[in-house]
Amino acid sequence: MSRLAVFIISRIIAFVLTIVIGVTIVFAIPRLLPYNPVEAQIGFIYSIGQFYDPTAIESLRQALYELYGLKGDPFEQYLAVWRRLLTFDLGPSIMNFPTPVARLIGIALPWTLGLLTFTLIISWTLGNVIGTIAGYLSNRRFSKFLTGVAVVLYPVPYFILALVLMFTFAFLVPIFPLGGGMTLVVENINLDLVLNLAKHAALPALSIIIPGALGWWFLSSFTLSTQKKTEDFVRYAELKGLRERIVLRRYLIRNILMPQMTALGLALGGIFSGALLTEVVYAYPGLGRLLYQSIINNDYNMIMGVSLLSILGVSTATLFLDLLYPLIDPTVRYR
Amino acid sequence: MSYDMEVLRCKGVTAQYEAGNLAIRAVDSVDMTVRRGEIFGLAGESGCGKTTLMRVIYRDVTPPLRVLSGKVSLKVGDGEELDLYSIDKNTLMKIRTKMISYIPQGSMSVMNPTSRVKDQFLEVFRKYGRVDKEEVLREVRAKLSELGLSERVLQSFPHQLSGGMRQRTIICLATILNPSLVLADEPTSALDVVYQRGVVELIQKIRDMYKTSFIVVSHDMGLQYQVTNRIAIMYAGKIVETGSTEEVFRKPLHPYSEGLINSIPRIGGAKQLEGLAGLPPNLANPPPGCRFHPRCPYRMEKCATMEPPVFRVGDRTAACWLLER
Amino acid sequence: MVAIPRLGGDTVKTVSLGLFKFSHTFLDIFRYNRSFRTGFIIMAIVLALGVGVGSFAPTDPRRWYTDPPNRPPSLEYPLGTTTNGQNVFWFLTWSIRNSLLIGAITALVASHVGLILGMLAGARGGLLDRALMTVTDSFVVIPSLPTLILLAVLLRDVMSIPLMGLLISIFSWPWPSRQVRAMVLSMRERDFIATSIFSGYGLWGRVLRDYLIFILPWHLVNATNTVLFAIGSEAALAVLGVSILSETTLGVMIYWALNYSALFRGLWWWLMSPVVTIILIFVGLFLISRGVSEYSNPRLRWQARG
Repeated sequence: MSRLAVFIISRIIAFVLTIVIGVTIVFAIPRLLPYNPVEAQIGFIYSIGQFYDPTAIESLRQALYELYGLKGDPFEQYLAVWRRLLTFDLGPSIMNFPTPVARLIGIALPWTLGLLTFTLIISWTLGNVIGTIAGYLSNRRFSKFLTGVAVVLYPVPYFILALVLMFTFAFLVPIFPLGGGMTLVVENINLDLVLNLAKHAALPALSIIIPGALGWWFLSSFTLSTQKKTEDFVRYAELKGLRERIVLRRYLIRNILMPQMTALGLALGGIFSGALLTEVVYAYPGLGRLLYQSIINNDYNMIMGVSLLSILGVSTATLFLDLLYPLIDPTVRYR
Repeated sequence: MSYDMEVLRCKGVTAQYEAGNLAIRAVDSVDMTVRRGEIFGLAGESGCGKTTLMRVIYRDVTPPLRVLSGKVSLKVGDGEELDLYSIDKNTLMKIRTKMISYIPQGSMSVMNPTSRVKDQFLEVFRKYGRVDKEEVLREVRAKLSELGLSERVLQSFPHQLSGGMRQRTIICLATILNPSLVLADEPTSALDVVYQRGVVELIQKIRDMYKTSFIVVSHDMGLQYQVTNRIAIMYAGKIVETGSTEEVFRKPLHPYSEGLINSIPRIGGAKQLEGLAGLPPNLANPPPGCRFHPRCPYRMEKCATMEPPVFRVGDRTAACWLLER
Repeated sequence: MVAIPRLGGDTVKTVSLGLFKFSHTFLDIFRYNRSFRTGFIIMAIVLALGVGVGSFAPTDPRRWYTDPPNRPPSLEYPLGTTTNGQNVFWFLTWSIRNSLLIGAITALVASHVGLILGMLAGARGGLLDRALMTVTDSFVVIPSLPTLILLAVLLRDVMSIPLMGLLISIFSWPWPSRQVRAMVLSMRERDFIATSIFSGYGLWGRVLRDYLIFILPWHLVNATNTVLFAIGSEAALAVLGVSILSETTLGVMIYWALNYSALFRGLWWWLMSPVVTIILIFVGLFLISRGVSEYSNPRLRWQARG
């Protein structure tokens, strides 16, 4: 069996294993704790102060147990979770009863996906290119300046920067709106709609792009660049008399983007979490805000649903990247 | 020896490495000429300054290396003479690869790992404005087959080629534009004997077909004998002997050359091999007089105090008091 | 680099020698490494505010209406007041203290658990190693936030500062254990077989005596980064409303400010004080960890001396 086939298969196995472990954790944790959402819900109803017919309460209890997937013994429940997952039936949302969780997620997902994909591509590419150039020309002034900026941006989480941006550009100098996804009602796709979308997405996008490009990706590619520029093949390229621009483009950037792709896979989890929080800060109508609302309203099913989806989503994206890498890096592809 | 036949002329080249207060004079008052179509060897122990001299000739001089004095002139195709240290950076970049090429030591990892060989050739041509891919590739393929390299090499990535193939590809890359002079630093060190021969044959073929001059730096005296026409022996930063390879090997004039040549194993040789006693001197504080005198089996009193000048014997030179007659 | 004196022997002498070497190293890093110096000064200021100044608060800052509400910063109320009549300045000092406390707890627990498990896995190998690696690899890929949120929601009623620290530790130990294991493995490879047999120490003895010295600087850097990660995670949970709302941390402060639409209503001081403070803490701690890692890497040390 060829090396490539072995690699692909082992990666897929690891992927499945990760998903299984993740789902099991999400399944096991709530059940291990002394928290019973059904009783909590019923207790809540009682606390409002009304009186209910005991039989009605009992049938409600049964229904709730079913809804929450808590019927039957733990093993049955575990299988039930898997069945639900594979049929995309995550149960109904409590706060928006009876709308299914899957549907609500389906509405919020495009916003998050759109924001993430767009910002990821821009920040990864921009950050790596700028970082590589700055690493190669490390004695220029702009390089030192950018490194200083990166030191400040790198440790700060996305949503904190989101707050700063919100303060500066939506409050102090009100260029952008304070939050939300859009203000117009969708009647037809026209330029106004697109502009409106863009304006609302601008600050959330910037909150992710700036620390990504000028912080994390800048710093890592800068370090790689300062290392690589002393390697034989770069030195020889310079010795051949090739211009700086060519050396940067064909020798440095190309050979740095490869390992950075692997790094992207490892960083996806953190970037995803950061994006969720940024959405909360800006009340952007994606998964983040959905999660926030479900926490406030104790929507147990929704929280589970979003958690499961996150694990699945990030693992799949990482798998995708891992499988893509050998196709792009010639030193791995051709053996 | 008319000047027209010369391709490279070095006069009084002196260069040193500086670190704080320490100065290591790796190249000291070197005079050297290389003729057109000649494979010129530069031999000597490790650390004698061969690589530094190459770097200086190529003008690859960055701190802590500094050139103190001397002139390096290159004669290019149309007869024009270039003083390599007075031209500006742009011209220097232009003549590199086109008029003068450098194959550095340890060239195993010298090619771009993520670029196919054919793209690396295209890159060289693109530098000079030749962007017509098809035509360039046709030229490259023709030249490769002339030199005996398979076309398959073009499609490959560097890591797919064996060490020997890689080295030969690098040599082709360096000579594709027919430069007048190629500096090859230890072109065969990392290769086993079979591949060494391939490299030697390639160098000779290129010289035969295009009249390209080579300077081959190597401490391997066997290689020097095989491939070079003329040879210069370096010791402690100074050139101690020059001459045609045949003559120098048959009858070396300088005691150091004698020691080097005697250390080559010969098939059928019954004599026990003798190495040279002692170690090369500390270049930060070289011995007075002749630098070789502490190790020289023929040393005289004069050698310890006065540095010998360069004596001429026919077409050869040697810096040794023994020749004072 | 600090050489840890051999354990055992005269304890007082060993301890005082250790302290002396430690302070010598500290002064060295402080003097020569700009990163470390800047970071340390920032953190010193923050700590002074949080622990020192904060202890002098006239009342519990969480109490409502200790001061007139919605006042902008002025001489009388240096950082203004909140909608509930709380003094933002004193509120901030207590928040700093609690945030740092959570960070410290997490760093103490997670980085040491990671260190021990990593050394175990690297030294023993075998089944334990395999199991550990599978678990840590999963943790690395799975985004920690959703699970953290889940746990935080469920533990809402019993949440406290130590519990929060423990919670975040659950997700902070895998990464250091992986790194430590890699370090132990690479050091094992470099061992000469002869020395290990002749020195008479078993594997564990070697790990503790010889390897630990080289792992320690990394461990210090990792602990600092864990504090960073913990404060950030807690702030993230707080913004979502699942942190400890009865206590106050920097994250909780931000939560309340957002909840009361502070920015929208123009009460920018309420939101920006904790935000700026958090940024200062992050940058400060990061500079410290950078300084230490530059210092312990001999090549970088010369560059940093500039």
